Amino acid sequence: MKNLRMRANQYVKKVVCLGICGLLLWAVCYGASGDKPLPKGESAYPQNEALEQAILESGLPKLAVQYDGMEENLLSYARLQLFKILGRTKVKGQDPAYTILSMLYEPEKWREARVLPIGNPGLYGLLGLQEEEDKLVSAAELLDRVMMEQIRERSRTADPRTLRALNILLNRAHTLVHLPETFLILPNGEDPQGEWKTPLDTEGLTPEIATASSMLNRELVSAFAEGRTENLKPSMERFLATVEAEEQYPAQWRRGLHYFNTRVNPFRWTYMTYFVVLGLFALHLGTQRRSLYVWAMAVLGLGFLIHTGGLVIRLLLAERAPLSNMYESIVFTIWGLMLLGGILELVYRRGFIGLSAAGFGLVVMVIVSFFPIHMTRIEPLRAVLNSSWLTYHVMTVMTSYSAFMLSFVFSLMYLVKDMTGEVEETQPLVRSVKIWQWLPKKETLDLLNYRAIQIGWPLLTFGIFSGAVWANTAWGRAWGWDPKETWSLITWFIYTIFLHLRIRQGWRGRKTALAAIVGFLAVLVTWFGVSYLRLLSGGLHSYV
Amino acid sequence: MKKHPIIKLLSSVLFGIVLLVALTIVSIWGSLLSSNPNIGVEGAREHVFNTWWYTALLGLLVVNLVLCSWNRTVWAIKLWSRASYQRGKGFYLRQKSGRQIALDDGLEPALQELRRHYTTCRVEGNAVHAQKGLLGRLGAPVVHLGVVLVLVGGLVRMFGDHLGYAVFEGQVIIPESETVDSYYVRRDRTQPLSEKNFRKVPLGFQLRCLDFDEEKFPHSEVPRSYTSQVEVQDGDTRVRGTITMARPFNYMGYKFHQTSFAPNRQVERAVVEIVDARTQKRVTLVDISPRTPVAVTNTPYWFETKGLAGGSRWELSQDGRVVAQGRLERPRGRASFIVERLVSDFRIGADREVSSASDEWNNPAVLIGYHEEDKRIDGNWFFYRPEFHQMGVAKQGDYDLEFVDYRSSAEEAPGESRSAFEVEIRVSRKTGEKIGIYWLRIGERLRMDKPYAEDEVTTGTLTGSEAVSSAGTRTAASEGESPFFVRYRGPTMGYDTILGVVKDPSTPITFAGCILIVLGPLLAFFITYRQLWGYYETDENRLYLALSVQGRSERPVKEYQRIVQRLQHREER
Repeated sequence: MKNLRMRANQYVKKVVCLGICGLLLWAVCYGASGDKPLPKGESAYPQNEALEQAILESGLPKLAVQYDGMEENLLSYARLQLFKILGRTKVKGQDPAYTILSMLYEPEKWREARVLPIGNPGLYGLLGLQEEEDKLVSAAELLDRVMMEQIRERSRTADPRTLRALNILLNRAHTLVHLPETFLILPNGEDPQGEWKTPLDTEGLTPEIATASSMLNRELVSAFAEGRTENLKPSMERFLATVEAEEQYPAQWRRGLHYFNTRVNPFRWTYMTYFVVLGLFALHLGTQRRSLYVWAMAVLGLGFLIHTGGLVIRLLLAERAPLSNMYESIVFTIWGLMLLGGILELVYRRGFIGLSAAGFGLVVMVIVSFFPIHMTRIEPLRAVLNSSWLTYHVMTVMTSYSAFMLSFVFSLMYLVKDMTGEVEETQPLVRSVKIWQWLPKKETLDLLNYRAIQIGWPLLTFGIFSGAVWANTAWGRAWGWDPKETWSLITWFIYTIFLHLRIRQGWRGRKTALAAIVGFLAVLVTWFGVSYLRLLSGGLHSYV
Repeated sequence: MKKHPIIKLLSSVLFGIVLLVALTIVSIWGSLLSSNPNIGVEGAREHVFNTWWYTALLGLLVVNLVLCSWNRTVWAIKLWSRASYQRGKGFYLRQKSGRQIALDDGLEPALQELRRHYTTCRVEGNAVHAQKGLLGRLGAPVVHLGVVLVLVGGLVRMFGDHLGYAVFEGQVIIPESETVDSYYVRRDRTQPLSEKNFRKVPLGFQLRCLDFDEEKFPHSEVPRSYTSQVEVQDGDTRVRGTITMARPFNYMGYKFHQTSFAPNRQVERAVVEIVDARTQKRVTLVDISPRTPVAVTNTPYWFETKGLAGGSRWELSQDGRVVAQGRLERPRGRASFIVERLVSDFRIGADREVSSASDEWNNPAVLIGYHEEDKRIDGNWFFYRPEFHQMGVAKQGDYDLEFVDYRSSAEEAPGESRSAFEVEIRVSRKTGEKIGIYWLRIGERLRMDKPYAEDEVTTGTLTGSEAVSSAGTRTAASEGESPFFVRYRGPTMGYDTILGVVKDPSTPITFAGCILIVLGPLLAFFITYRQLWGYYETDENRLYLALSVQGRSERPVKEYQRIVQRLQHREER
């Protein structure tokens, strides 16, 4: 009976482990697809596969478009606008570049198509709509209804949440209706720093650009109206040859790199490799096979190179360090985590350091892959961040967070080990589902926890110092007790206390592991809490 | 010498840790307060960070750090300066690092080897003591000294503020092309700057805003830059500077940094189009204000106007950066009104002086000055109850004015004019066209918008005989006509630039402290203190060695193993 119970127990554990792995794999694949499940009733979308193919072959998706202060390409512009209109970056397996051109050149069809998602059920009552299964409404119907006096009357007494949802829905319709005004593909020759123009507004442009734009526009109109696509590619080439002569038009390598970044998204490949690294290290720890360790380190190196490549691409495109918003700071921190994890793994060669770094990096990278597209795009750098101190300050602070992440993982491992007890490390343990038995000795984990904080604390110190210098330059004072500043000081206090307790008071083991966990909680509050928790928000660091 | 128990307590590490824990807890409380919109950062400073007890906690930390560091430094230097010899092989045999090497030719070759690797190597008889890495022991005191300097910087700043030789959170608001000679600071530091909570302090020189520019990214609301062009006028000295978010402007110890800006419809600005005289094509559009030189894009030329006012000349020459000269005539002067006085109970004395008969609002009246450009042409009293005087609507220039209402935002006694009061004036043209109703503060200027029709503006052609490049090289321009002429395109929104003013003598102290805080861990973590003991047993011709390393660094151990190997190989050879 006891034997049966043990076997049942083992099966349950195996199922749980496999379930977690499956969930992670699903998250990786789902994040990689960058799409959400499609709502029902999509047949109303205009579709022309031959035309879509012709558009892709003509090179139109690489066309440079000026959007919200930055140079995008048609593909990234399309994803951003589709997200604003439909709440997702592509529809029905169509290429986003085709969908957005269809919206631009078949506006009547899209105005009438039921494509706008009704987020809040309260809107049916407010707008007097029939509750349909697809939960969609067309822009034309929506805009007609909001003009009705009775709808206006009803909206005066509607609850704030419904009104907010109505506002979002109207913004979607507004973006769809005014889309042609944002299709800025013509560089303005008169003013090198100026705003680009749409094909509908060629006043003041050079005759060459106006002619090339008019030809391209005519071909697109005829392609969508009559399905004639044979002149699409030549007119696109002529257009490119004309606009490339303009000083302000992005260079070919730049457009190519931007398109590659949009189409491929190196960070997606990064977490896929980290997933493989995680599996290889886990197998190595279970079987103690040397070849698996070598493979794990090789794939880790490859993943790190891809990660570095992704950051370098963003650096080249933005012409600044990729550290100016939450997405970039998280991606950079995970890069630092993989760098430090890799170095410590090379020094100690225990396998579980690489496993910890890859596991933590994978989870965080998968989470950020779910960020909405407008949070992941390369944004224009705000005036307040336009300083060389941005690089020093954010880079050192984020690298210190990477070290504290490692310390946090080692502390958790220590506590798991502490609760489960030491086991012999001589036998291969792959048959056991007790993964904690793969962990190294408690002394090793304790030492590594200390080493990670030894790396992180000076970096945090320099980060706070460089932030003070920057604040002194930008705001005229080095320290102002802003919530972010105060919390960074609190974090510094906690890790300082940790170091004193360990070095001078001889604290080891469980107590230092708990102290390191408290320290990392302070890091999380400084990093996210001050930005997103209402209890702690405010201050001058609101943009990060 | 036995230490006093209080000194012992104050210098203990545990006491320092307790202080850090206390500071952590109260800082968390302070951050919660500063995030509360009803309290804010100012309130958090008042209730936590600027309180006597928070200062006392920091003071105790300074005392703890000084005493702790003193003890540690004295101990490290004592250890370094005194040799401690270990005689007798028993000590060496007990040590884990203990080694014994046969040396047939005496101790001297071994000493040479040790001196190559260690900073000090002392010998007494047959005993040797070598040390290396004193700086590693001083890493912690260096960090502590850094923290002390940062806190001392804070004290210098605080006392400097109280004693008046330092300035913090000062502010100047300068409309474009205008000049100020003083800045504002808050009377009560815990409250925001407001009309009530301020103190005006003279700068000792004049500061003029030549231009403010807010540049946004194309088709975006994201600001690319905020730039103020300023000029200091200090006696005969004139210094120009550019202030951006990343670059403040320093003069005489004052630091001016960009904090904000505000639209100001009373600022005189215009957009002009610079046109190539030969091709008739537009070179650039520029947004200008009077007396502010503007570079003509993609050309070596600058130009400057003395004013946009009607009748004034557009003199495109200033400070040697002459491009050309020309004129743009505007047909009429631009009208403005200034509310000069408000009295609650109008009375004219025997000496024809106007004053208030009482503090009651029996007969409110307001004196409004009429200006054309900046010249006061006329001034009239307007009455809230015109039936007393039968002159409710008075005429000023081409305008009709009416005193409609008044209000006070302050709990002040009425009577003579107070800055806290506002008056409501209705303005219309002589022709009967209504212009608007405006609330104006005492001293505030009301400019008439769009005083001219576009067709009244003439196009000026610039002529000149010489040009100067922006790099300063004088070049002869073409004879006769200037290469450019200017077209007036219309007025634009002007701005007030809002600059922060700081004069902080503590900055070098604070930053020196920060450098030490960064340097200390590098010393402590990357330099390892180690000492080596040796004893030469003459009877056995053997050298006994032992090593002690601070911390868990493996480098000194490897170095020690190499020394031992070299000595052994030497004997074998």
